[in-house]
Amino acid sequence: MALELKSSDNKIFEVEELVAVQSETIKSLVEDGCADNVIPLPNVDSKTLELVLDWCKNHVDMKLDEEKLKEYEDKFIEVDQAVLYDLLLAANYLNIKDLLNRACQKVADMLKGKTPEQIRETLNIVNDFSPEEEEEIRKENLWAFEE
Amino acid sequence: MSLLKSSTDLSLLPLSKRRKEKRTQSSEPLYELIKKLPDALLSEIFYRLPCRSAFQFKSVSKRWFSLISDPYFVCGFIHHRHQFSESNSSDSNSHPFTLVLQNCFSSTKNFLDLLVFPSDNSGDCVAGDDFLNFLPCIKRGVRKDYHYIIRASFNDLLLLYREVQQDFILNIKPGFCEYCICNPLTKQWITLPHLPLPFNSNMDDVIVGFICDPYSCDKEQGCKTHAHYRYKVVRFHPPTHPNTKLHMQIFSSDTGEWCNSVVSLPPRGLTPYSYISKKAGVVACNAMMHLANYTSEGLIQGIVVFDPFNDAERCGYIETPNSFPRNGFWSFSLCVFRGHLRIIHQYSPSRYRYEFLTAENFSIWELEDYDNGGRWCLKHKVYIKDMVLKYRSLANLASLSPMVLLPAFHPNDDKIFFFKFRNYILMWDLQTMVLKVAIELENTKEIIVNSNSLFLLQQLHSVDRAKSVFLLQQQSWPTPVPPLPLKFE
Repeated sequence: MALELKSSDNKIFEVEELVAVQSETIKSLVEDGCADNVIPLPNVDSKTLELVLDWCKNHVDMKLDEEKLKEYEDKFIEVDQAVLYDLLLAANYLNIKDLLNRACQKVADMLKGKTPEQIRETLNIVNDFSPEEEEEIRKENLWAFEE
Repeated sequence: MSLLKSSTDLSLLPLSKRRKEKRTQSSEPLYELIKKLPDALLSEIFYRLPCRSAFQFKSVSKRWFSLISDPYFVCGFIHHRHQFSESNSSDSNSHPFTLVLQNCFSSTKNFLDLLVFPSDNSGDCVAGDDFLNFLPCIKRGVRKDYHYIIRASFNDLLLLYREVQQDFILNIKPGFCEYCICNPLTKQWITLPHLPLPFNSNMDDVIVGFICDPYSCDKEQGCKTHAHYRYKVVRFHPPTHPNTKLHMQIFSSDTGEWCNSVVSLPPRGLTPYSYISKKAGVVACNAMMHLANYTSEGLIQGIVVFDPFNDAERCGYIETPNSFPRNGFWSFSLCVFRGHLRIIHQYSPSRYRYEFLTAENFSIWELEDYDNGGRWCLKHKVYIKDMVLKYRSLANLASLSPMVLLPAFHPNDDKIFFFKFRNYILMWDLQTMVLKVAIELENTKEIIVNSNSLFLLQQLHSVDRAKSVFLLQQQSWPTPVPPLPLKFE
C-alpha cells in the first residue's frame, strides 16, 4: 500500500507503507486511520525528507544484512553540519529511533574529547558563568578534568 | 524544517522570500544550530558522550550545566547505555574495573597496604597512598597516623574503617571508630557518625557489610533517578551462645543514624568468626548480605542471608551442595558475578605430594534459587594443569609457588580468572586458553624458594591468602556519595 507525504515546500512523495512506518509518528497516523489522504509534514523540507525516506527504504531492504546496513549508515551520516542538523530535527519530529540515534551519536562524536574552552570556541557559546562559579564547578568535578 | 513558532504557512510567503529564508538556515554553521536545538534533543546528544566529557561540559554554559545536572539526566544517560549495550557487551573493556588487593585486614597495622590496578592497563600499579590520598587523615604527631582500611566495596564505592584511640593531646576523648564511604574515581567521601570505642575492645570481632539499594532503570516501573539512592552499613557482632539471635548495628542512609538491632537466626546459626571468615567478610548481592559459615578448616557449611531492606527481623539460610567436599586442602570464597552469588573452591593438595599438579583444580558454583535452602549449579571446573599446559617454564615454577585464585570475577566475562602467582597477577581466559600477565607487582617481598624449604613455602601460602580482594566496577555514571540527611531539631 502506498502513502503520500507532503513536505513543507509542498512536494509530494509517494512511498510504500512499510517504508513510511519506520517513522513512529506516521505509524500512529496509519493505525488511527488518518492516512487516507496526503499526510502533511510541515516541519520537514523536501531535501531532508528525501534523505530520510532513503534511510527508511534502505532499512527495509537491508534488514537482514547487518554488515551492509552498517556500511550504508556510516556513509549516510557523513553529511555537512547543516544537513545533519536538519536530519536530527526531522528524525525527532518523525520519531525514527535509529536515525535519531545515529545523528545524535554523530554530533556527540564531534563534541567529545574537546575541552569546555574548545567547545565554546567551536560553537560560539558565550560563557555566562562568573570566574568564581566556573572555578567552583571545576573543583567539584576535578576528577573529570584531570589527565 | 522551519523553526518558526508561529503557525505561518510557508507556502503563503512569496516564492523569492521563501527561498532566501531556507538558504540562510541551511548555511548556518553548527554553532547557531546547536543553540537552537530543543533541550530534549541536546540532552539526547549528551547521553552519547563519554562520562568524563559530560562532567566537563557542565562548565560550558549555564544552559548546559542545568541540562547535565538535572536529576533525570543521569537516568536517561544510564538508560541509553542499557538500551544499546548489546552491541558492545562483547567488548570486555567496555566496563573498566579496578582490582584492589589489601594486604591486611586488621587495624593493628599503622599503614594502608594496598595494591591497585586498573583493568584497562591505563597505568601501573598504584600504591595505596596515592589511591586514597584525598581522604582526611588524623596524624598523631610523631608516632602514627590513623589510616583507613578497606572493609567492603559495592559497585564503585568503598567502605573504609578506622579506629581512633583516645588522645588527650589531640583532644580526642573518648576514642571512636569511624566508617567512611568514598568513590575513588570522583574523590567524593563522607564519614558516618562516630561509634564509641569501648575500652579494651577488639574491633576485629565485628564483620561489616555494605550495600546500596540497586537502582533499576525500568520505564514501566518508572526510572529511579540514581541521584538519590539509599544504602546500609551493617556491623554483624560475633554470634553468642545460644546461637539463635544475632546482634548487629545498622546504619541507614534514610535516617542518617546507627541503630542497634537483634535479629533471629535460622536453626543452623552462625559459626564463630575465624581468621578466614573475617577475611571473607560479607558478600552483597541482590540487595542482600551473605555471610559464609566457615568451619575451622576453612570449609563452607552454609550461608546466612540477611535482607536489610525488606526483611530486617530475621536471617535466612542457604545450604551448600551435598557434593561439596568435607575435608582436605580446600579453600572457599564467596563472590558475585552479574548479580549472582558464586562459590569458588580451590583444591590445592600439599606440594610435597607428587601428584599435586595434576590434581590441583578449582570449581565454580552459582546459586540459582534462594528458596528451599538454595539450589546450586556447577558452572566451571578447571584444572590448573590445563592452564599451564602451554607454558612449560610456568609449570615448573608452579610446582614451587602456589597459584592462588583471587575471589573476583571479571565483570563482563566469567571465563576470565585472576591468579596471584609469586609477584605477578595473572589473567587466564578459559575460552581462549590464553594466560597472560596482568600486572607485575613491585616491592613484594617474595623469596625464591627451593623445594627444601617447606616451612617457607607454607608461610608464602598463608601470606598469599592474607590478601583481601575488592573489585571496583566503574559504572555508566559514577555513583554519587550522597550527603547524610539533615536532622531537624
